[in-house]
Amino acid sequence: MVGEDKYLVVAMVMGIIFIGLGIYLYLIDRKISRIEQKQDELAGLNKK
Amino acid sequence: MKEINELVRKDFLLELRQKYAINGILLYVVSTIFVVQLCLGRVIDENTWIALFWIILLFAAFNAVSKSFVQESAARRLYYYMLAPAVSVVLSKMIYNSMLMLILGLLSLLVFIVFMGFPEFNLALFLPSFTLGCIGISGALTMVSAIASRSGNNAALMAILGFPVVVPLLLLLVNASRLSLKAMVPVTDIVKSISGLFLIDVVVVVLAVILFPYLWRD
Amino acid sequence: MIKGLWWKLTGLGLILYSIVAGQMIEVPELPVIHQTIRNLFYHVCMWFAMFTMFGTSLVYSIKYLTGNKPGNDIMASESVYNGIFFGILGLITGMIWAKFTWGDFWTNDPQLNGAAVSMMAYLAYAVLRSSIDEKAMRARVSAVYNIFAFMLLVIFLGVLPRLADSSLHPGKGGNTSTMQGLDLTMRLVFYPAVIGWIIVAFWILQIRARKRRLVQNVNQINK
Repeated sequence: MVGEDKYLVVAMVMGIIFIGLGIYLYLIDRKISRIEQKQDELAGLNKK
Repeated sequence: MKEINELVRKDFLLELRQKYAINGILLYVVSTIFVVQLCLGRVIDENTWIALFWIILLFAAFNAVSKSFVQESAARRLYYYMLAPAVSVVLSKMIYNSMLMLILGLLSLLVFIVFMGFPEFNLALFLPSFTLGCIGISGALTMVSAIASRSGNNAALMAILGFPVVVPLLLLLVNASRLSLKAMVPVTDIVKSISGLFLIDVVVVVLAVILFPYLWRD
Repeated sequence: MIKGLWWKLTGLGLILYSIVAGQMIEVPELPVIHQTIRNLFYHVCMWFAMFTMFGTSLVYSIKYLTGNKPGNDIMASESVYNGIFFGILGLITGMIWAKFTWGDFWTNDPQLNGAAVSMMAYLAYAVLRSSIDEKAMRARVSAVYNIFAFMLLVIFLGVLPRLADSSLHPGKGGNTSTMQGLDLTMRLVFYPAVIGWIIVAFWILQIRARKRRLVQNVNQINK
């Protein structure tokens, strides 16, 4: 089919953009997890 | 039941004493229709008639209903709170507003007919949908005004919150009015549009009765 | 390290699969839409994600009204904001699609009007929240309005388009349903895409809610 390559290019570009977004989400999630842990530790210290 | 009666009576007494809503809104309706007549001329086609009529009535409803909870001061609210259960407060407000709205609607219909003429509506469809529409719009706006009264600037919020809530009703009403222009309307279509309006009315009233107590207590 | 890493990765993977497969598969040749049918895998998923988010916020609003727990209010409001985000994405993808098939960015279609008005209702929800200062009151009033808004959404996207005479969207106003137009290969892409987007929507919701809780805790400590 003519233009098969074009579809591939579109798929690649969109895929790469989406992978970038996915990594961004993952990093935020990790950061929040870390801060949550820190906060829990602080809360634990305060109780003692 | 007794409380609802008394509360509705109180609202009507207040209205009769101040004559604020009826007079102000009638003046608004008359002047708007007059402006429309100046701009468009006396003869307009039926679709424009329907659209203008419902738009003008909608804004009149906003004006009339928006004051229903806003005018109550905090002290008076506390007084009601001790006197009557929340459900009867909201039902009484809804009944009062629907009656006010019906009166206003009929009067503006009259003014509209005087200035713009009356398209050949199928009354068996137009009148029930008009009644149900007035009840639905005033019921929904009553609830919205209760929500808006709990926030800081209620005049602006009333418009923002109320607009999306009444649009489905408005769409159904315009559809029903357009349908009633046809010479022969099948009975199934009449039943369909009226039952659609009725359904929305019932949903609005039921939601108001369930949800209002949460708004009412402090 | 991250809680529930696996379902999150599953969501990402499903979407990635749908993006790549959505471009590569053969689609049936249909009049007017032709190859733009591929947008179905992106545009429709946005609405599904939005609807799920608004449904979630309805559940949490009801929970808040019955229990008065502040956590439920956070979840309810964040899922509304998240739903608005997906709704805007759905509008944009839909408008681009409309430009290339029907020739205009905006048409007077019952489905479109319904989407626009329900978006307005939820934007009004955001305004309402910002206009009340007291926390408990804000939570209660906005929960009540949220239930109203959801009823509206159901009426608008579920009931009115079916009553309307004509619509450009399938399944409404006498058109054939979408599902009949989809052949098997398209379904194999479409369903995973929907599931993937819903999962990612929940992930974003989780991140937003956790962030709100963190901010709240910090504010309490500062006091």
